[in-house]
Amino acid sequence: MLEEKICPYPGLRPFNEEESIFFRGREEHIEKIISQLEEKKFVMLTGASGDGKSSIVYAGVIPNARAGFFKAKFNNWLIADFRPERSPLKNMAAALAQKLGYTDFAYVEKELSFGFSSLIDLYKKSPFYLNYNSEIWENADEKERKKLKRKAANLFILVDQFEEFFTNSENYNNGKASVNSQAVINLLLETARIALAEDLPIYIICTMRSDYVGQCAVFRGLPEYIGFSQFFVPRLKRKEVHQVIEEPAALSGNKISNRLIETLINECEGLDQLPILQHALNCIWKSHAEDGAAEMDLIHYAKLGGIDGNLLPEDQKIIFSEWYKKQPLYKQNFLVGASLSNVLNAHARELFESSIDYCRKHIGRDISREDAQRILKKIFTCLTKINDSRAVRNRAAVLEIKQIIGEDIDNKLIEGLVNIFREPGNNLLKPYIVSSPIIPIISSVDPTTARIELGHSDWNKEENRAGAEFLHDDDILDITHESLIRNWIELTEWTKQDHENVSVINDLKKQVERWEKQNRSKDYLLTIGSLSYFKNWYETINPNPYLIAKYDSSNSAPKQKLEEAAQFIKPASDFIKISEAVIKRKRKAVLVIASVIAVVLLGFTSFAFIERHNALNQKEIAYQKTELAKTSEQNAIKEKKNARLLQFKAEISEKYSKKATQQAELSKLEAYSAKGTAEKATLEARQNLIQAKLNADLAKIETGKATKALEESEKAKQEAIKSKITAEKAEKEASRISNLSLAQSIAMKSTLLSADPQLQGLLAFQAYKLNFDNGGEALDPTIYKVIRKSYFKLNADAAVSNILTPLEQRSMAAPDTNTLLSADKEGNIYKWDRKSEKQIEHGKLLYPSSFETITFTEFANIIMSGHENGTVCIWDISSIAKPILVKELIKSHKGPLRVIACNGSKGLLATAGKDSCILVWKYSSSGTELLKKIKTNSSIQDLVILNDGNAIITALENGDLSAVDIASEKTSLLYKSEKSKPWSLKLNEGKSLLAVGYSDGKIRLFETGKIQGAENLIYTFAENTSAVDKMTFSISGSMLAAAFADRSIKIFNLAKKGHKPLSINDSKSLARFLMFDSENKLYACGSDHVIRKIEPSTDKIAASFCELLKRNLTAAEWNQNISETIPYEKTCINK
Amino acid sequence: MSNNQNVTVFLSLCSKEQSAQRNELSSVLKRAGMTVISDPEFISDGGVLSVSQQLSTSDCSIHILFPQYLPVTDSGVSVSRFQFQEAKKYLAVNPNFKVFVWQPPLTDLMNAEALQIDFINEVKNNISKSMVYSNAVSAIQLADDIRSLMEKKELVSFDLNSTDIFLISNQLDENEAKEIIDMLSDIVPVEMLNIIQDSDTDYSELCKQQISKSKLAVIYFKESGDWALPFAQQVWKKIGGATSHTPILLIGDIDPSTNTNKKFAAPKVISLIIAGELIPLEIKVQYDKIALASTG
Repeated sequence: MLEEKICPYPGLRPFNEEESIFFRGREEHIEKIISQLEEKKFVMLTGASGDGKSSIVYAGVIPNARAGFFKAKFNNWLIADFRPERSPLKNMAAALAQKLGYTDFAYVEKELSFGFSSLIDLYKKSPFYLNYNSEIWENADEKERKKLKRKAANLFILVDQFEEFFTNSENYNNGKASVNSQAVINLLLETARIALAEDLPIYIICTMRSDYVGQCAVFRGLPEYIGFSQFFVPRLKRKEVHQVIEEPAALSGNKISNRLIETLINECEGLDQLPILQHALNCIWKSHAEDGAAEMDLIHYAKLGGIDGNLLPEDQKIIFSEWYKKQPLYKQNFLVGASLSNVLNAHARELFESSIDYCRKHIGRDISREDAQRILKKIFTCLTKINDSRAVRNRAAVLEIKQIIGEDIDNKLIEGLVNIFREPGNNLLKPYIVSSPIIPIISSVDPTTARIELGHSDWNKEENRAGAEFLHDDDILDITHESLIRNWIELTEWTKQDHENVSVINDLKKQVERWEKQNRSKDYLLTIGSLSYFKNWYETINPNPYLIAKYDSSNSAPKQKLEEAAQFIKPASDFIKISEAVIKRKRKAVLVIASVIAVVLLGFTSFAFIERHNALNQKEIAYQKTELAKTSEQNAIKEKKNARLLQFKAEISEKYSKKATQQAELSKLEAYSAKGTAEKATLEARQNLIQAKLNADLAKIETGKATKALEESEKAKQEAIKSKITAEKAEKEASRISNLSLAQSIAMKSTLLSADPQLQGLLAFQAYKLNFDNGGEALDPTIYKVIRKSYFKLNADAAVSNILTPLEQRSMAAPDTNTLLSADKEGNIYKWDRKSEKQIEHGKLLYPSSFETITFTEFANIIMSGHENGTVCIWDISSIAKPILVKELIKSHKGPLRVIACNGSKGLLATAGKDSCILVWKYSSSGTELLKKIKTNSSIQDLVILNDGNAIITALENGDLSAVDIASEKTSLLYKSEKSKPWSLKLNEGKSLLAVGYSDGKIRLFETGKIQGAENLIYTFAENTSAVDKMTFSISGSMLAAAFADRSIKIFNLAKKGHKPLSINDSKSLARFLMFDSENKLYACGSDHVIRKIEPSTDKIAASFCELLKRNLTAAEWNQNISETIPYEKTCINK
Repeated sequence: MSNNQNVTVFLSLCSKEQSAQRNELSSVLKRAGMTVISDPEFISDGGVLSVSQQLSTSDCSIHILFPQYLPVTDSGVSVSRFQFQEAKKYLAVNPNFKVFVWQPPLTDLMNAEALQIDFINEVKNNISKSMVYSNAVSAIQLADDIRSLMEKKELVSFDLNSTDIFLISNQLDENEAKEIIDMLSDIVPVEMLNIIQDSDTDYSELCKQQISKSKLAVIYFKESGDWALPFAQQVWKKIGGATSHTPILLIGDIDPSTNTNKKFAAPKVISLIIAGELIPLEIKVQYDKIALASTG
């Protein structure tokens, strides 16, 4: 046994298949995805970036499938996984050809390009497909069959990073999907569809970032399929994050302190939480291993820049402080701003700092620190791009990087600089040098060696190949996870700068284009400020066509981008150079002119200087004089102003006084005048008011008269309309009744015309139409009878369209809308396809004692059987082919067991035999226990358990219909008929109604709400005189079907209890079991080994009549059989 | 406690000045379906009895950290610290109990009173298995975390017997496995499980429960090597890996030769590929070693 310590955390990269043993926290989600795949064969797995979609599939779903925790046909699994990248069809073909054993890759690609069933066909032609209906299988002996089974395999197709269908311009350009992309999507959807329809062991899962869901509409059928089966990866809860941290440590024999766990959980928030947590855990593990510590703790986290050293416990604070002092200054800086995300930042910065020493040591190249870091910066910016304003990864080949950098650098130098990021334990760049699976799991190499092959199928790909220290031109470099871009401060900054370069180049492009359009006119050259900006930028980045192409954010193809970039370089360079030259020339001319002007100005300046000096002296004297004069003038003005002000005030006072006197006189006169006018107006108003009152009274009288006349006229009119409507109604009703009566008469006529099925059918259908058009009963028994009879005459196939069974079936169940389960008296269980009436599965309940009764329970997979020896058996028929005996209630009754009743919601089971005894059982998945043993007055004919599980209704042979209280075992008589015995019992779906079939053919309906006795009886059907053998309610509760001892079946409409039931008399056998399905179709097991399907809806039978009728009635036939007074019309319009 | 509705929470006390936050949390917890118990009339002398009584009727306790060391009991210890210490004592003898410590948002603990810093450090540096130190940004988030952490998942329980060896094989190797069982069952109690790929049985849970009742789990394969290795890995994970009490013997027949790569090296796992006829003997040898180690 291996006891050495192993690191259970993968770091920034996703978990691979072998590491699944340490993949925790997603168990519930994995179970749900598997069950969705089992059921639907397809799952679109969506989620945010960094949510671990790939890990869930590679380290969750696939290992569980291989381990047998995925219900499928075969033991072996072919995992065909691929990423769309830039050639989805090619990648899909490569993955499938390899897994399905095709050596001719071109053939596979060609075949797949035809879409639809191509992938299924390739699988079926491969040696891994096993058809149990094939001749090879049927002719093979047991040994050969075993061999075939060992070879057979399920096919699991994984499309990882589905969003690449949208992020690569080769796949998706200008809102349109490429032909190859469409072919691949078509293949995926069609394969899933066919696999589901034919139950082939093919499963498809796609992982996609949820922000691309909207774009899926570009592919036909894809949104519908996503709607059909999607799983959104949920964010982990605190409990699950705890598992992610603690359980891998425990599994691998490591220890992690609770305080560290809690600190990490508290910091684990926001975007990239899982990748940066996994990265930090990987680093913490390494740090603790280096220290030789027994437990991962806060101090190890602090050494990585995760927590401030001052926050450590006292004992660790001292150790940390000593360690800190020994660290180089640059490393001490990395610890500033401690946090979970800073661990990744500090790690990347340290590698960046160390890259120069690494380069010198590993490739022996003497390169300056400045140059090394400049190139490294360029390499990393090549590996990022901006997509929709977000910095994302940009996978690039080594050759591509060299071309973009454009300097004289070779692969060796790139290796020297980037390999430190690819080293095991760092793994920030792909391809990793040594994959370093985090556990020494040996699947293909010697366990003692340190370097281990990758098991993860993705890692076996070219791009991820392990152990490759040397880089080739076609090797693809890729940043392990986008969280590095977001958390490494320098890289974030470089990416921003790179994004700015895109803006600059777009700006420059526009200016150059304008300049070119204007025939390189000097008016369109750069101004001094712009020139300096663009020139500096141009010299700094020194662009080449590859770099320009990288900055091209259009949707053009890469080749086109490169061509356009190459065409841009020369004019751009010319543009800057010419702008510079023109500006230089302008500057020179300006300089000459400025010199001449300067000399002339100098002469003038000297002369002007002297003159100016004299003038200034004169000016000073004049200024002083002026100031004196100004002061005298201002004083004089002030005096004058004061005098005028006094005069003005006096004038104003006089004016106001005069004006006030005049105003008073005026007001007096106006007041007299106003008084006179007011008195006059008041008088007039009084007179007007009196007149208006008189007028109003007169008008009121006239209006009253008019209203009354109008009301009387309206009343008369309404009466007339009413009488007319009544007359019309009566006429219509009379006509309707007449037509309904005619429909009955035509129906009767049709029964006499059995020699001419077409004429019979025409009359039957015409009778149905008349009945329907005149609002006749939908369940009219006469119409139903003739329609049904005629239908079977016209459609011989329908008449025999029943399920033929080897033996008499005793019980049935409908687990879904497509299939039917039945059981016969020998314990055979069958699953039938309702449409084709063919047997799908068969199994047998193996039990030594004869079967007396078999009952399907409310649980889809549980069936119960009662035996001659009194034993009750509970069976699990999840696998019909191999039913499992879950519980055997041995010899519960003395003598044969007669009836089993079950109440699923209460977990109750009641059994009764001929021994006048009821046993009540409590059952659950954990076991079954006997609750009560209740003796009854007489032998039990039938019993049911009521909804609340408190009481049982029994039909006793002595004629009693009794209610038995389970708790008290008290029996109360519910009903007793002197003339007949209760023969059979049936509860409706909601268990609110109980139908009791009697030996004299009567059916009594009881309410089950509160057992009070005769008061519970709500209706008695007396439509037959033969004993009621079996009954069933429709699921909606609207119908009750009963099979009688005279072999007839009647269907009662419970909404119209007084109406005649539908009657089916064409069976020559006794019905052993009746059942309605969810579409109200009645199934009856006959004693003649046939399960009959009975359609109780006249409308549904009549719907296909015109397809069966070859002609219409002739005019003569119409007059003879329908009516001469009713105008002729076509029975079937299209005939 | 069978579901969330029945989680009873003891909410520790604080001073009047800090009661707004505590009241808010209490309201949120109640609306999250939990029962909150706490004695607002905490009296220093009678408090010991009161707290231990309340803890004994609770499923977990919540302690809020504030910068102030208030209020203080007669013995000089803050009520908050006293109640936390009582909860830890209770936790020590009731492993199913959980203690939640909450540092509410915007609480400046760096500038807390000296005694309170001392208390906070005591809490932070001594977090034990069933303790949670949360800095949830809101009372709602804290209540949600508590609810999910207190949730107990009901698992299907299989009716299984204790045994010495539990041998698991795939249906492809059913006959060979039966031969091994025939040879072993006379000398040591053995239970066998035959894995059928298209069965509805929850094999993962069944194996976990049966392995816990066995002294040695054996995963045997001959033709089913592609199944055996991942199966062993998943079962190993399920039973707790290095912490499991029952070791796993992954044993394969050397024929076919492709089996030689099917090995799994991990703590508590013995992985062997040997000749088919020696397999029963090897199982017995490994079983004896384990039996000897457990008695010795």
